[in-house]
Amino acid sequence: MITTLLLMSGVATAATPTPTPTQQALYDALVVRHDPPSCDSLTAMTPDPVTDLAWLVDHATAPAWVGMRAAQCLLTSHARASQATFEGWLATEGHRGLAILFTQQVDQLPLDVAQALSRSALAGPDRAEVERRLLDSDVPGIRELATE
Amino acid sequence: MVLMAATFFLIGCDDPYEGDGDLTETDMLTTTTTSGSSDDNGILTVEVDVTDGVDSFLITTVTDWWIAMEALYDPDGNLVLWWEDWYESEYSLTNAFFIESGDSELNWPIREDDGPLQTGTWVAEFAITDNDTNYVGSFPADITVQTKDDPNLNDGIIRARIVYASGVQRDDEATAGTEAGVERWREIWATEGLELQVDYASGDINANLPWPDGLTSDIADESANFWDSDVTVIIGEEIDGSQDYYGVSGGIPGTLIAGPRSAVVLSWLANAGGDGTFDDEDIRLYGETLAHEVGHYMGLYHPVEDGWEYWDALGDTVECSNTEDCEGQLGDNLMFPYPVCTFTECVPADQISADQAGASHRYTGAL
Repeated sequence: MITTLLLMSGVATAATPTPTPTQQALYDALVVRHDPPSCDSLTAMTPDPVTDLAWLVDHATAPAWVGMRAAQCLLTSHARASQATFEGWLATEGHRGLAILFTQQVDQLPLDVAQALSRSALAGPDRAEVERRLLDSDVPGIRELATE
Repeated sequence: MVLMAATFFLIGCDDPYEGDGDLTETDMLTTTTTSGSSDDNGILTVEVDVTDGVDSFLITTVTDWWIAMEALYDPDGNLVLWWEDWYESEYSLTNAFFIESGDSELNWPIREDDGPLQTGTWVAEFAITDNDTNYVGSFPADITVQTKDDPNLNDGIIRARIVYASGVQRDDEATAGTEAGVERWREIWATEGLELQVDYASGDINANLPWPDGLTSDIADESANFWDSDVTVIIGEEIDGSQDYYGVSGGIPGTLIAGPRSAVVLSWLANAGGDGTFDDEDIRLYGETLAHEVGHYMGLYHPVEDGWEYWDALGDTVECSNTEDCEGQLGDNLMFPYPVCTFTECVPADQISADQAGASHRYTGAL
């Protein structure tokens, strides 16, 4: 087991950027199967939550729930500060899961942020799916964007 | 609730769901449903008749208040289990002792030393309490006792109904990823003589799945469509409005009949990740997650809890006490509390100890 872990560590080090100690600590906190830390707890672990959580979204691909938990924390607690980052994800290929996550959380976001992200998503590669989901929004200002 | 549960039982018998037909009914399981009420002291007594050949039993009790098991007596009247011995213990044996919901489940025996079952009448006592944990007398409850007559406890079949929540069945990525994950789950369990039989179904439940805490009837409604020998696994898109939860078991152990918590719920999206697709690593982990969560449902705990101060009650899962030791000795165990990973790869968590396998085979739903 230990040998396997050491070998894996070597492979991963070569393949991915090296995390900072803070990013490593956030990863370790988010990897648990049950009872993940609250977003407030995660935020308290880092002086720059947007950068560090976004780093996890981009680079922590295993297990999959680490990136999703990090992205959810960005949306729910740092929506405005992470808006540009999210806009970039929603506008580019390979982020369908984040697009779905955004539509799940859209009604809880500040309206201006929600509308900006909706526009990015509707212009992105997952447009059809995003459009269908935004039509279910409880917020008229979001639904209208999906029908434009 | 009482009437609803009785209705679920009747519906469950004729299996109206038209799945893909892989599952078959079994005569190894006997299900008896009755009703009862607590005595003046708030204790509901459940009798289980164990005849020759019965290897294990699963008691499910359901009330409109809170309920938890207090005691189990063997046919000679010996106290076999007492809640205070376990309630604050650093070892975990069953969640039947804990007030979690309006239902409580006990599967017995759990460990090899707990069996084989002595023939005769076993007696289990459950406490019905109100919101302030005061005992409630003369209060009704539904009681279901299931017994297993299994000629070979080293080989078992688990029947799992994989139910796609509303809309999920139309997502090709979700269904293909789930089916690939199920194959990984099948591989893991096969090493310990557990055969997985699976049937896929489409459900009406919202893809934002409820936490299986008994507060809604949605899970009961979904699992009521199936036989009383099946474990229901519901695949949604999120759980309790969040991607924090990739999978949750409706009990340790869970029930086989339709009830408030009668399912394992999983978010396919949390298991696919930000790209919304399943690569090989995602599929492997998804399969391990399915096996892990249904392992809980069959009564398995984490061999050690994160924090390294609490352990399962099984004899062959080591009592490690720090991160290095625990990851080194148990990091590849299916029930380890987290996957041991770098940022892009995880150690396969597919090992099952002999005692874990034994406890799984003694789950009444392993037929």
